[in-house]
Amino acid sequence: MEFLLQGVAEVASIQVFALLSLGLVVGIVIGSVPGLNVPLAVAIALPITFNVEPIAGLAMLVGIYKGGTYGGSLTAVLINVPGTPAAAATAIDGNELTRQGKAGKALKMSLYASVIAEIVSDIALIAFAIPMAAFALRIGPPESFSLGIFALTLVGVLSQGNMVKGLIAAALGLFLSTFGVDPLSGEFRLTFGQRQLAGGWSFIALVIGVFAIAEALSILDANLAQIRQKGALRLSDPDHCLDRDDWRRSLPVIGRSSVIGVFIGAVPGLGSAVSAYLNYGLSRSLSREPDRFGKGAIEGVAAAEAGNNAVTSSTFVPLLTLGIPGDVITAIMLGAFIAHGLVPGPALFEQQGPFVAGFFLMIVAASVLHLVIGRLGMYAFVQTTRVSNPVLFPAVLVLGVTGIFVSTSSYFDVYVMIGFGVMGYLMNRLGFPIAPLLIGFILGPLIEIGLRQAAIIGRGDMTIFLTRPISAVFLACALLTIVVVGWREYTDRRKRRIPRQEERKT
Amino acid sequence: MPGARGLNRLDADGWAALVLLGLCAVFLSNLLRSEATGAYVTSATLPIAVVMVMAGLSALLLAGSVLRMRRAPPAGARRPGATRGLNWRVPALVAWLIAYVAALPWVGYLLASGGFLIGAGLLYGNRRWGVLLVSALVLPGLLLVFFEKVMIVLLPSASLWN
Amino acid sequence: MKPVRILKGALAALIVSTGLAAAAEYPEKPISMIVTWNAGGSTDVLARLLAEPLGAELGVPVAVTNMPGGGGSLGTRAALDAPLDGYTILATTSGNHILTPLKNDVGYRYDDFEPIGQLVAASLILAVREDSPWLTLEDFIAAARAEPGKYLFGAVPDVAPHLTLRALAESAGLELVHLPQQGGAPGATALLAGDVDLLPANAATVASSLKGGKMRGLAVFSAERDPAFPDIPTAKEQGYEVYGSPFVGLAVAKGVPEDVLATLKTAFDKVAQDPAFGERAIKVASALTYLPAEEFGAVWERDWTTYAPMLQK
Repeated sequence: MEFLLQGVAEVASIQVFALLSLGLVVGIVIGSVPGLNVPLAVAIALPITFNVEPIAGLAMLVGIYKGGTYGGSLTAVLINVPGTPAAAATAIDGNELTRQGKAGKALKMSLYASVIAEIVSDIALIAFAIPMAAFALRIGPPESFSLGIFALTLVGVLSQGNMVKGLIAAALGLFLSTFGVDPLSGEFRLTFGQRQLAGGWSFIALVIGVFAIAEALSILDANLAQIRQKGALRLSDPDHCLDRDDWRRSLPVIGRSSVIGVFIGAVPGLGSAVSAYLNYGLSRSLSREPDRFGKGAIEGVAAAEAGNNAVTSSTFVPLLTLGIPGDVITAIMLGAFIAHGLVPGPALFEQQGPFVAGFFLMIVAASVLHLVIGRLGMYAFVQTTRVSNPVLFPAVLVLGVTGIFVSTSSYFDVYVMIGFGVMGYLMNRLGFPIAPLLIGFILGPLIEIGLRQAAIIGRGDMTIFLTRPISAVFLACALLTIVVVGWREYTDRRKRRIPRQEERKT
Repeated sequence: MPGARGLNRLDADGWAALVLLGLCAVFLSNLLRSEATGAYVTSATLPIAVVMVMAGLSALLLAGSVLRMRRAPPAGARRPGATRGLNWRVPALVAWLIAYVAALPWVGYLLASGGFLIGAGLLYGNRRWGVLLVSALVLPGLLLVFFEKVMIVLLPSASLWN
Repeated sequence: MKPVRILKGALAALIVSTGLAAAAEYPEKPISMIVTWNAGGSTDVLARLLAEPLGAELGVPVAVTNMPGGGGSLGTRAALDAPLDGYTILATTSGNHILTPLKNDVGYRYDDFEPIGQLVAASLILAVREDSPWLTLEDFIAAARAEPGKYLFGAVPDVAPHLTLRALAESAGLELVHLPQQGGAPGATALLAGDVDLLPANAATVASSLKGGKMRGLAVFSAERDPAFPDIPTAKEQGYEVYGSPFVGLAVAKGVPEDVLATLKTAFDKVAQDPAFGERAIKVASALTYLPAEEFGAVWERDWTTYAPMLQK
């Protein structure tokens, strides 16, 4: 506590709070718009931070990061177009709630779950940074591979009734991730002689394609133009408020997802999307009522969003304790630290106590401000429900195209996005779930790099996956999931078949 | 020919599986011909394994579809979702989107986006010209100012514009 | 229908008028600076830092455009395909400029470009964990000679740190096992976690670990010691003449008019030699190693001939 008090002087300035708030607003907007991504926003904001106090500059970057990680859920819930890849897990149940006229519930739960998870993450960072770093270092290549396999088995639960189609989608995602430069040899593969394909399939084009473009086409197909209600939704209506039952279902889920998310955040190279999917899948398979999921389960929204935002503070663990950035955003912040003569690592806590304490306080302040700004921002975002589909979706398409240009400046990627949009639309129509495709694409590199690096470390001996304890635990979890999900699928089928046979008899 | 008649009666899942199997064959032939690098596990190992799995699952899907076709009379076997005809607006919007992107390097961001918004709005059944015009003017302008002036990121310029 | 037609007419007129106004003094519209790596990477951060003062010097905004992918080849290719009017410049690095075209068929060579100037030549440091028994390069070489094939090193495949260590291993007759990494930070993590025994890395990647005492530098692969790490001896001092130093600089496609190129060079020289900018750059990246255009071009040629035998099949 005394340690934290030294930091009060560092953060108690209007500049810090102004830039923190600005960062949060910018982050939420950037995060919510499909096509604009947080790393780009942080990179663009970097030059601004050099002109202000170090802590204020970092406050702005932290604000963009936290706001951006949360912002994707707003559009995911309201129009089924996730603004960030991680929010696609939120969309599964969140948008279903919107269709049932309970958008407010989903929005509020995603904000509260995010903020609670952030605060858990803040506390973990402040209290357990050093032991967590030691844990993070134990996640080497074999562990990454096994964790990836475990996360992949959860795809089974996300497949909504048709496991074969879900697995095909996941395999397709995994396969699409292997195009382009092979990360471990630098050779081009699967380029089919196309130089443009040397870059692989652009992740952002895939995300916007299968979600935004596909949703726009599906809306057009279903002619849902008139279904949206007229007039703004009132967040104070009972249908839009969280009741005790909602909290009873969600709180345990938020707790578990926050803790798992905090650990995922501390490991370099995993990130919020892995956490969101892992927690969503886990909550669904551990739930006593798994049938609620995918049909508007409030705890589904809670699991995805808590998992998503729980990484936002623990991601600073490797940066502060080891001096190693875990992702692009912390890499930029490392620059900002060094810019002010601060050397992250164990010495930072001893030599720069007040600054580190100030940084910690600022992160907690960011979480609290996130709650306030997010709650106020909700009023602005629900206004999109007043915009009718014929106006909204052309705009979403233009934003998608613009977003690709801003991120990759490549016409090829824009056409790729349209192609993925058509693919996503067809997948929707044919009953292939989309989330497994994205999970496969995200986990592909984790699994492949883990597998190949572990093979080299073990000099070709594959038992390394079983002899390293953490890796073995993950593989055991994977096996357990397969058994549980397989058993559920089997009993479900029998249940379905029996009524059908009775039908035939009559 | 019984085979051709069988294909005609295949449901949407069966067709999807056939397309997937075809794709798997293309990818597999490419992967097997390319030279693999790396120690122990090569750059081609995982892609080949995944394609194999995908082909196996597709075969399973096809088998299920064929079984359904055999089991039930053709009319009843079709699920409502899969046989719904294609709405002409969907390919039209895709074509319009491609036209928009193709036009970008020629007419510039503002004009192409404005034109696209009007056309797409019409496809979605918006007939209120006032709304269409306002959205076509305001949104691209706003985005252009935001990106080029505030964030200093260039949007596609054109031979006619700039 | 009518209002649309009028509007379109008006827009078209506007477009034509601005189109005609072009072809005046260079520069008179924003310049796009292509970065061939992702937003937020070390090259990107440096480019964004340079863009602001360079824009002020030229009088027009310089916009950073990220075109990542294909080992940097996509963005490099795009810089080559852009109109030769000087409104597209390339923030170029050893990776996309020398190594990728040597290794893969990407359809361009280093001399398809005209140098503007070098901004950074990073020093490469051979790092080990603090608890490693090796204190000098000689310790490590003796250990590696005694047990060939035992020790692992981490590096992104076929980039400067990897190739430099390969050159060292060849000149000392060592047999080391390469554990490919995806990037600098994952490599540093692998070293700290003990997955690899040694790590050749850009100074910026390991700077905080070295200063924080988590890692120890055995050698610097430059002609002189790095001023930021005066305690780490060069490889040459220890008897191994192995050098490696990945660059970041600016280039344009060949064929850009002479006067345009001259304007760019003057502006770049001014900014790169401005101490205020240098101070800022030290903060995020590494110390600036400014070189004017001709010498930068010579660096390209030197690196191309050095690495060609190692990479070409």
